Amino acid sequence: MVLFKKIKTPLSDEDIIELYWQRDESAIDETDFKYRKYLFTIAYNILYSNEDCEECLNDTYLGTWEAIPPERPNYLKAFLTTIIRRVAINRYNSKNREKRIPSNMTDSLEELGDIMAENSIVREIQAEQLGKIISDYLRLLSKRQRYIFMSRYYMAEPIDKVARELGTSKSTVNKEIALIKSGLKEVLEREGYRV
Amino acid sequence: MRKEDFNNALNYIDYDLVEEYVSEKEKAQRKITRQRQMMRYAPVAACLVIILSVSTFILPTFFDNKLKNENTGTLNPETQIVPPTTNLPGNLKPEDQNSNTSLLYTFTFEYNGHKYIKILSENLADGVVDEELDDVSEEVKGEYIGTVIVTDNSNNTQFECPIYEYAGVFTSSMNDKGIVVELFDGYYFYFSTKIDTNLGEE
Repeated sequence: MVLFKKIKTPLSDEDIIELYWQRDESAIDETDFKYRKYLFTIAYNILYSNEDCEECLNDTYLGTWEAIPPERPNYLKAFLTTIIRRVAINRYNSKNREKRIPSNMTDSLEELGDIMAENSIVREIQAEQLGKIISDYLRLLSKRQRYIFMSRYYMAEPIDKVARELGTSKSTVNKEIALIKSGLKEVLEREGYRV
Repeated sequence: MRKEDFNNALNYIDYDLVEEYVSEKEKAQRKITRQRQMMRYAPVAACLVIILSVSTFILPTFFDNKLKNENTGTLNPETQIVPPTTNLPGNLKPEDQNSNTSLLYTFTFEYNGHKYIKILSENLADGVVDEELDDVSEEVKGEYIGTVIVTDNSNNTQFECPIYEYAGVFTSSMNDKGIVVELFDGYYFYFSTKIDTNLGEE
């Protein structure tokens, strides 16, 4: 009979990254052990499906495995955050697209997918440009407003959770969100976007 | 611009902004965890504080007052009486006493830095022997030191005078006879009389 069960403690980020660099597959287990709950929450806020979240996690670990090396992130948690968000958003978009009308037109458009690839590159470049504009706008905001924006729009967290984390009320957060949105609208319109 | 485009654009926001956000989020969550732990343990801590204060301050004070009331009813509970550090005349140690000394044993105590020595009756006690008086010792809560028997020369009457000690204060039920004198209302306590050298042995 085992009287005392050994409690596993998570490795430090530096050690986990070192495992990735050594191409040691236990790096994935250690990442999963340390960050699974956190990453799952991010994915769940976007996808609302346990099954999809599991797949997102696997894709994230694979993405991390492929990215490190050559990358050596200073802050592993933030690095994983960006990866899982991309994975989850891609899955979200593709699931949205699956809700298409099952018609001949849809099928014929599907066939054009391979020659429309360039279009997706253009979209990616545009997204990158827009990302830069949003980043510049975020730098103009206060730290607190940036936190609210990131929580709500980057991580898709519920407002009451954001309010709890900031130790304030939901209505205060809502007011701040309205201010942030109006400011962002102004910036985007100035840059020529139709909002 | 479509919502999807905006959402995709967020994937390209600067990495340092993500780092800042994740670190701020960690801080916020640590704070929430601490608050939760405090909420969980605060009632336990409060109970401990109450138990400790009751056992450290309230109960001893309660028993002190009760004891002092039973003894004399006159001692101020806040009075702190300490034995003098100087070796004043008459402040003889028990082993220095002998039957020829008219003033055999004098206790003087300091209170708030002032000294007060007063001898009510130097020649009152003549023959002194020690003897226990069990009945009295049960009535008084102080530690029983011994009993002195004093003869009043004026009417040749003998008095038994049990002596008790509590917190450095010596007292007796015979204070009205001038054998053991206690000054009231937060002044001083002393007794001065011929006391058997065996005083201190029960």
